[in-house]
Amino acid sequence: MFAPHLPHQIFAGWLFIRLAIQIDALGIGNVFIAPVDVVIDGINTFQPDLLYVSNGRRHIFDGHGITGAPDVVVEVLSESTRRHDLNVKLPVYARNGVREMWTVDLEAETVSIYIGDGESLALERVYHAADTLVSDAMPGVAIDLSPIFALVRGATLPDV
Amino acid sequence: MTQPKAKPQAKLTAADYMAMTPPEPPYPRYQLIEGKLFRLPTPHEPHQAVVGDWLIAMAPPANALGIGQVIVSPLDVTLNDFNVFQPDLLYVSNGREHIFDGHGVTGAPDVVVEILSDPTRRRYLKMKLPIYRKSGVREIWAMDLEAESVTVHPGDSATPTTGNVFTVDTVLTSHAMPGVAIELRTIFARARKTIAELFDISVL
Repeated sequence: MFAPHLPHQIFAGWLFIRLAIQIDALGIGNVFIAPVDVVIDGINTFQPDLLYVSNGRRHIFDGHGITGAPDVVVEVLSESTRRHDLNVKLPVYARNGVREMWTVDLEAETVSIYIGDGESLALERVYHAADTLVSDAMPGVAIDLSPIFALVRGATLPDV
Repeated sequence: MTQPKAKPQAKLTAADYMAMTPPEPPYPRYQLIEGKLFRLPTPHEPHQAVVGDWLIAMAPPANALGIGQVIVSPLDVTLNDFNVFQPDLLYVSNGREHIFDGHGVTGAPDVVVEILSDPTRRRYLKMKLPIYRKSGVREIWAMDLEAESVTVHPGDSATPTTGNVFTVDTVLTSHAMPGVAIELRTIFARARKTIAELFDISVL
């Protein structure tokens, strides 16, 4: 199989919708949903599930794709990608200047926020399903997580 | 030196496709069309920007009206034993949730949206259209970025039609998504703005 599982796509889709509507209204940058190739450095090209580029970092759009570090990358963890996301991609994102990495755990219903300092990305806080997510990288944006997790839950129940 | 004789290639099945291990990054995407694997080009960002615009236009109203669910690609849609496609978006109405199979979809979504942003995708759609029709998809919406139009191909017509063309100034409505009205001007305008601001237009 070459596509992620349904719950992964439902979460990514709805987080994208909520982020894009707010980010558009605020006019602070652009958010994209995978698959978009991000040439993060000379030897690494990743496809984060979502990525956010603030207006100040627009230069990373090189006319064809993205070359450089987005402000925020979001990875929805799955069994097959969890280790790769955290052990391989996180350090590369970190040393290339990604400001924030959000990792989503669909089973635990959490969103973990890692904050970057140009060298590392350190876990700073964990949001649960009832929380509202805010981010220093996206001033003015607030994402109520409960409806998003509810949609994932609803879609994955059998016979719904 | 003798060349190995070319053997007639056995068709791959949907089960073969599902058993394949996802490759290493950068995760090439494939579709199974009539038993053959076809690699999807990694979309240009403008393509994904448009996918996002469609998602915003379709999913919130469908959710608010409680009529069904819109899912964004990539999702494996198994139409029959030899065809697994990844439409850019798909809509499944309430009452048809049984086609969700725990991984993707097995069966016909009500609506599939295909964004034709490169020659490969145009070629694939020609191959996929008759299979979509046969499998019971109600409507295939094909967005042509260059022509600034969306062609709605009915899935239930016995003979292939050229489809109903919605131009950029029109509002797309569909019996398949009652109550949802998609202002194409908004989608095309957003696409144009994103492309003009961030990308070299020639990539389209």
